[in-house]
Amino acid sequence: MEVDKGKGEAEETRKVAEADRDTVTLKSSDGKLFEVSKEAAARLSTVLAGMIAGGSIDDNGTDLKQIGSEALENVVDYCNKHANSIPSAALISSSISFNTAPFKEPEEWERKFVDRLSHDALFDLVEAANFLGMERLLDVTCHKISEMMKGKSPDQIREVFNIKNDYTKEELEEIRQELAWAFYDD
Amino acid sequence: MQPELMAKRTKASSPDVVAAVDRLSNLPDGLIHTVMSFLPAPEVVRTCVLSQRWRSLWRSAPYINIDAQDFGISTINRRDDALEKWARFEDFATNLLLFRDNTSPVGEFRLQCHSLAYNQRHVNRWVLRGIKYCPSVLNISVLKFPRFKLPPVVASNFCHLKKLHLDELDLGSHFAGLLCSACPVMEDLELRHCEFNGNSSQGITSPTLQKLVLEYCGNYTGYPFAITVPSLVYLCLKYGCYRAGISCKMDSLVTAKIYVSENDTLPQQNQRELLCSLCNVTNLELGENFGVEVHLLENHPVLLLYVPYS
Repeated sequence: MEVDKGKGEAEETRKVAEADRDTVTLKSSDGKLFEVSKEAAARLSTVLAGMIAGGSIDDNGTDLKQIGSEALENVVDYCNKHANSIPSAALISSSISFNTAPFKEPEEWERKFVDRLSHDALFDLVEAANFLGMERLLDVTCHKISEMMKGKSPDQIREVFNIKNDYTKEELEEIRQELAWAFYDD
Repeated sequence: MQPELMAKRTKASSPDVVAAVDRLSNLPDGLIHTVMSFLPAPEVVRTCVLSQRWRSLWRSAPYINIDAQDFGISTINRRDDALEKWARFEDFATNLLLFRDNTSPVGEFRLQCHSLAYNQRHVNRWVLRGIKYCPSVLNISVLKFPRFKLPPVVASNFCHLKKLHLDELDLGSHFAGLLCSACPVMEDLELRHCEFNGNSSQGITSPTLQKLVLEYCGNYTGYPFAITVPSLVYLCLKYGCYRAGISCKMDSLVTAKIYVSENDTLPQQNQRELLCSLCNVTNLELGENFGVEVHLLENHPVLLLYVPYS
């Protein structure tokens, strides 16, 4: 049952979106309206899936008071892009998604999607994805943040994220001694 | 907000711009842990010096990823150099498992030693410690000659296990029994370069398994390898050695990829039986060395036959 539905909708996604059917309307905290593929929203967001299944979707725009319009636009954009990029193999092997890559590496288009975001927009999107229970989008955005940390010294990381060092010199020295096994390069 | 706006204008396409507010530290622990899951373990631990907020975050991270590569260990190291790096790696891994907050649950445990392991006893302890966390994802790859033997494990520690990836292990004679009795929620099993040994019949039995990958594995028990997986939808069998044959029960299978070598993988009679057991498969990929006349199957109503040509 689940399989047939997934197949049919994915094949029809483009048509359906154009015909303005089978979408849901979401409303940002500042009152802007966005249309998103119902299939993609339900597949990518546990919260939206619950709302769709529970019938609490408002045709005039479901209120998402925690999410600003810029972040919601990115969420909707991500969902719609996802709906159009399902590999055909996924259709054949039903709704189960298999991660063959080590960990959950983002795909090329997902990388580009987060690369174009400003610092604040990236964090707004992390928070929106968290609020909407979008595991995949959380992985993609958190992966981007990890890339901004990777290979950098503590000072460089503090600078990129504006982290205030509130340790005393003595405290830092103590930590480094305690965890010398992790600071083997120093 | 003003400096941030200006920053956006000047370098809008890159988030590597100095931030006005510390948005990272303001994230809830769970999200910082997700960020950490993508970092090498030494870098995760070293975040403790960033600020007080970060002091103990690494200790409760639910992903443990111990990887010899993070210590520059590879198979081509000069021997003296390699020993020094291995000592550093060993020290790190042992301390990480000792000093993390062991009351925090671990969802994923990953141990990768893609170079020759120097000390089996240490690796044994890490593996046992990792399994003791009852993770839902377990990924162990230890290159060693002769093969690293999976230490005896307590079956109840597999109660949450959904995804198990093992590479280069000697699975001994207990693994099969463990799989069918101790993994009530197993979905995804990938075994690469693993060996089954012992004096009794072995195989893979799971009512819940959906994906099975067997690459370059060997069954040296002398008994046919029994695969009983009624929920399986994806099977990938690549080469390896099953001279006593394979007996399959996988009625839900949708996708199968099967590659055999000319002589070693499967006896011809068994290749035929294996193909017959794939009657419900709609997406089949067969390697070119298949000794059976595949035209037998071409009349199948839903079969997509793809024989790669190299």
